[in-house]
Amino acid sequence: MQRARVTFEPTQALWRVRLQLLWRGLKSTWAMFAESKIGLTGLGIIIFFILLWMLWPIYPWLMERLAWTPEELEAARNAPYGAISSIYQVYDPVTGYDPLIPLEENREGNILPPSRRHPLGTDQYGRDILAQLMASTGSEFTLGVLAALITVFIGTCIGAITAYYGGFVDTFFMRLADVFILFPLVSFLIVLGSMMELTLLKLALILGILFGFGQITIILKSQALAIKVKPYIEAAKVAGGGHFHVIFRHIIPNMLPLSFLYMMFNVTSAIFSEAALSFFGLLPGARTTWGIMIDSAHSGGYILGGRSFEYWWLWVPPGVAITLLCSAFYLVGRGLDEVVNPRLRKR
Amino acid sequence: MARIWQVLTSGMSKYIIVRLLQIVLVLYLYMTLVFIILEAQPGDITDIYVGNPKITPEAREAIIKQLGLDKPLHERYLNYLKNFVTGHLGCSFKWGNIREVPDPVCREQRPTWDLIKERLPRTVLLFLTYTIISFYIGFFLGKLIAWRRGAIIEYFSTVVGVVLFTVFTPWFALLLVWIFAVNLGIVPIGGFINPDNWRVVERVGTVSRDMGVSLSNVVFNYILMWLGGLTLVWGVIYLVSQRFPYAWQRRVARWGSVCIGLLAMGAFFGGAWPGSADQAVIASETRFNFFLWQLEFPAGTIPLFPLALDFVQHMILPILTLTLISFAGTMLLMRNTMLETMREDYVMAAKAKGLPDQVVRDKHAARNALLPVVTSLIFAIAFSVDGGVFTETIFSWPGMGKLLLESAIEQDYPVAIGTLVFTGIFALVAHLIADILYAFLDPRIRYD
Amino acid sequence: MMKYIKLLAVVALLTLFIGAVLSSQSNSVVQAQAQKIYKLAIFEDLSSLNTLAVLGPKATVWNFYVRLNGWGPSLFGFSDKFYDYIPGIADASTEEEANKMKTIGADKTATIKIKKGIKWFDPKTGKEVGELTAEDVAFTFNAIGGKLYKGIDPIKMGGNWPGIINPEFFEKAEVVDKYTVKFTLKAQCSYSDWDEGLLFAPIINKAYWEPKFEAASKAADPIKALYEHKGDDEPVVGGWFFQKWEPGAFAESTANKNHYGYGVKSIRPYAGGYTEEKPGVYKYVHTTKIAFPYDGDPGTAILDKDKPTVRLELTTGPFVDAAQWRIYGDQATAVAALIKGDVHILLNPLGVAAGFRKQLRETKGVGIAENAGNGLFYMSFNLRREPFNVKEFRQAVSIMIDREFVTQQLLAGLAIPTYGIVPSVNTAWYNPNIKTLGKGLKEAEKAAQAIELLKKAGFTWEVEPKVDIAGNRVTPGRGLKYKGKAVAPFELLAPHQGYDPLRATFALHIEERLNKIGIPVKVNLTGFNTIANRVFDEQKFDAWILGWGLGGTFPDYLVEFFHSRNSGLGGFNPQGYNNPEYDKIAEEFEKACELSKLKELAFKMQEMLSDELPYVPLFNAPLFEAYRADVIVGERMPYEKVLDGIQGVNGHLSYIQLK
Repeated sequence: MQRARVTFEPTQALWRVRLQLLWRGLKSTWAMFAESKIGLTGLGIIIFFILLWMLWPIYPWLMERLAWTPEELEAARNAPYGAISSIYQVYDPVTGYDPLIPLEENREGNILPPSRRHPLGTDQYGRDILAQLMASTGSEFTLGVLAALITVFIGTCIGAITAYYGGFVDTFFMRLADVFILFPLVSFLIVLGSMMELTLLKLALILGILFGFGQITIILKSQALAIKVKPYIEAAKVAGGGHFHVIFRHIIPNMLPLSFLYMMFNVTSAIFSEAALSFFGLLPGARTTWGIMIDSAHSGGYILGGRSFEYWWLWVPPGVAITLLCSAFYLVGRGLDEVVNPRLRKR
Repeated sequence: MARIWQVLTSGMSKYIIVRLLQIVLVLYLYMTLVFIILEAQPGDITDIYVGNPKITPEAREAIIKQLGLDKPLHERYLNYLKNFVTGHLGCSFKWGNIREVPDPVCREQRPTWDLIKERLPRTVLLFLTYTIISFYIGFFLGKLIAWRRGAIIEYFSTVVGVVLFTVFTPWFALLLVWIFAVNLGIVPIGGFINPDNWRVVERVGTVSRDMGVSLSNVVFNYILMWLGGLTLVWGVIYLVSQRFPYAWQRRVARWGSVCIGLLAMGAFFGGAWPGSADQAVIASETRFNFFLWQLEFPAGTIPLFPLALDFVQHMILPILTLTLISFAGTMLLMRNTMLETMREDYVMAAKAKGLPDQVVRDKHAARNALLPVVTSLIFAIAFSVDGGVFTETIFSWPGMGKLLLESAIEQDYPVAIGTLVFTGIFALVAHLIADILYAFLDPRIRYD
Repeated sequence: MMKYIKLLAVVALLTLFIGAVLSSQSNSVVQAQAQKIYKLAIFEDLSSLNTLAVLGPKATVWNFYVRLNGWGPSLFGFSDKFYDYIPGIADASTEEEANKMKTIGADKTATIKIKKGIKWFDPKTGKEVGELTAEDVAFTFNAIGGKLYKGIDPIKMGGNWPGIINPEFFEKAEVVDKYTVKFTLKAQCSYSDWDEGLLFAPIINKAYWEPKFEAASKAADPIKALYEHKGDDEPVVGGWFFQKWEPGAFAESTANKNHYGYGVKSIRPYAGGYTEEKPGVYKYVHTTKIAFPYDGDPGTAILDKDKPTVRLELTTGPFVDAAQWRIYGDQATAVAALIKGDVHILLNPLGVAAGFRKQLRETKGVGIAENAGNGLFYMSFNLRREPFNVKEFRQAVSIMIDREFVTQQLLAGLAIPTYGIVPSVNTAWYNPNIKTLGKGLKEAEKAAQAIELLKKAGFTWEVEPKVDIAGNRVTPGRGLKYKGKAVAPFELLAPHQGYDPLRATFALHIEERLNKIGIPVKVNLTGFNTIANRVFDEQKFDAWILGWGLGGTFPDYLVEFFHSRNSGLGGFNPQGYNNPEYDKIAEEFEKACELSKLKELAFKMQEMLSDELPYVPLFNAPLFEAYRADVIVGERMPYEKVLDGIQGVNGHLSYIQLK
């Protein structure tokens, strides 16, 4: 049996060839992706949030040097109640407070409007809003991406396997997919959240599984079916590749672009679900998330209670952040859609 | 016998039977899954009594026994399945009986089914209305932006659409409440009826006021029937219009709809409601502000429409919110399918023939792009109960979603699980109906 | 042509919208002129109409508000606002007479006379259906008390019933004549079972309930059979007929102006004492001074200017035509409705959030009443484990917690720091001389004190925390050891932010402060049910933070929470506090009869607890209530300063007068 020859220069190592191919593929994909303004917008937003996330550890350090005057620092160290010893105490997203908030009788919480020391103000417990926003960016990303990865992993594997084997395996997973497609997700998560301690990790796992066995399996299966009949699969089989080899080396790699596309949409759903659950107080494991920030502004009476945008900094930033991040992944997904799906490309 | 067998195994019936069997299997899988996941949780109902120092441990034991929580797991599972098979969705822990004749199984507790019956019409009315509105808008806009590919309108509406599509629903709803209800004060803040209008109502049609009977639900049900009837009549007109010559079809359908609409309006305001429910008996003098003038009703009977209008007032804001949030989904879907159909040969051919753009767009491209959109419409209706949680909670609309959230938070497990399972069944059945309708409409789908 | 029709349709739709919009604005105004309806906002629907069930397993505060209003007259009761012990339907004209009547004789019996002429009414028609007699009273106690029907007793009925009629105390009730009942009891006295138990029990209508009890006792499950009655047509004695209910939207009671108590005038002069009078019917004179000297009340009934000698004067109504409870989805909606004027008061036991407080204070025409709540929020440990069983350890923890900092600085005054088990507002039972460890000290001083205590008890550190009192600095220590063994990091369970931000804030503060002096604690913010389950049902925990609503004023919880007999699974002493000395005092307390003796023992128990600290009291949440002052005659509530707020024990509904 004759092996297919590599048509590149024989002096180049195989891995270099592969790398080159990958690089070329990426470059051409990027060229197509860059044509879509929508996709680029999304990518820009994602990069912005990643920067925000990276900035978080040095934020208090920055603030100490840029925003606090020496007098203020001195005053904070000698405050009548709860003096601080380090500026990190002020910007802690959970236990932080600003000791310089005046202690008036009947004041309605420790809210400070956006100012030098607090670029986005503080919430009713005197915690810096920007610090909370940055601190939760990481968990939102992790959750969204983790859930989406699990989803796509499950979906791709099962899609490929069902398409390859067909028969009983196919029927079983398709019926299972029926269940998961029609699963009332929000209701289910609410009931579940009321009964068990949902941590972000558990939630990511549950979301990943619920999405993974659902619609994505069917979509990826049809893709796999299309790949299965391609000549190179036949060639691989003829060349003596086992089932495992064919599925994992030939079918799945060719499904990956579409999987990646659906991953983007799933990140959106995962982040949205997390925000919704924490908004209803059903994610007690999490100490700060954007959903919790909105909920505490709402139940604290600062959304419907405030007139004329009185306390906008309590609820506009987290709401906008959720919306932006969700739409960013969605936009990137749409941009990729045009790359993966040639019919959508401009004529 | 053979003939029946033949009918049963012929294409359509066979397809339906296979689908039915599959649905039953899926239903069983779904219910078992729900049970397994929910049973594996810490804590139980008696915990809510812990906060009350007046309840002794013995009394708590009694509660556990009363609720059947002392039974082994498999017994509870069988009970759970049995209850669903016998059409019983369990008994609430929280809600007590409010009927003259108590439910034979639940006794002093209120059956979950009774709660669902009370809440479902409210949810269905709200979500049916918004689904239709938002799908129409989405369909229209999607068609437009696909046709004007690359124009500034595409970019703009896609971005706006995506933002609205991915906006954090509770937050957005709060924002709208804040603008329209709190600051501008032009719509009610929440709820589904104004007690001032309803406290004087003694009887609606044949249903008298009695404790626990929701008179507003009687009107709700009539509105639903009324809307359903109207849709049916419209459908018939549409089908009849298909028999006319091509040039007349459009006109017949349109004028028929307009006539029916006018007739319906007249009936609505005049009080010709289906059945005997065209009037409400009121105890004392009441006034309704209607349009720009005020209607006074002396004690006695009044037509139902002012009461029905009360719902409309309360539905404006939720529907606005839901429409804004969800039309974008349809729009983006419509755009995509439209882009695909636009590349089909028949569209090219129609264009080449020199037909005007609008005709090609509406007649050739859009009509054929409609199929996936209709699928998603069916899905949207199926998921209305599920998606209702946020909206209903923010707008204090006492429907299914709010029931689910409340019972989940208050650990009223039977209601939470009952509602959850019902939501699943609702979605499954809607799905089944959609499948069958499809098979009728599109012969390509039918299994052999 | 089509275009015109489209245009017409659009115009029609717009008109509809505008019409709907306009009509939503002015409807309530039109209605209010016709009838005087007092509107109250509640957040949850009724879960039962059956009053027995409402006092039993359906004991939600919302059911109480609506369903128990004007229902169930009791033999004795508390006076409004000041909590004097006065007769209800018991017939006595002086305090001495009343006291004599309720004293249990040596033969363990007591004979109680009831007032004549109290009528039952059918709530559906509003018609009289007979008189309240000794038959009704005896039936109530015998039937519910488990003496008449098999399978029915207070324990099985659950909820509040065992606390109302204790079967271990109650023997039987007999009818002597039409207006006299004779009680036979199992002990000669018990304050909680008799004075604030049996004598406070609601009397139910015999004619209505007898057949139902009878049928129930024959059923397979009598309690279910009893509770399955809808119960909306049960006769009432009081001022309200519950008549309308639209599930999910509102409930309404119509005023009964013919009821026995209508027009009763109660006057409390500054000099002390109290009189209650229905001209031509009865008069009662009370001479003891006030139990709850709550002052500074701006309510309408405080007639300082006109009648300098009168402190509080109330006339019982109802003076409105109906009371309407409107059901709102959440606090935000209800507050907005109050501001808009759709409702007249918020009934809200959960506390009003800070943002709403601000807006309510700033709204013209809205009155605010702030009162102390009868509750306790505390931290406690598993005293079966080391080092939590070391008294000095608990004291050090209590010292380190800066209650004033958390309540004043972090919570902006939303909570009141607490050092004792009995709330300080319960002036009748609160011991003001309890220990207040670490109160008013700065952080460094607290740390120094705590470290000293820990050292004394045998604790050592790997790295001892350093305290700089002058500079108010604490350099954190680590590696706490008890008797040479390292103290393992332990977990503090507390409700999460969404459930209760106050307790969560406290928990985080405790975590920070304790770790500073090397006590290795990690907070686990979690759901209420998880905590309740782990603490009460499984007793698998190290430390936790929760709260109690203490119900009545009588501090029998001092026994329930700390007696060692309750330390089993599911008991009220999950911390496992076991002190024979304390148990002895607690048992004495249970047996004591005289108020002065009870008080002495309660004081002693409080003193011990403040030193032993099985509970570390944290804070108490005051009640904040808002109402529409501009619709009420006098622009004020009849009285505002009262334990547990306006919505508390005695409803204000019967005194309110609308403009």
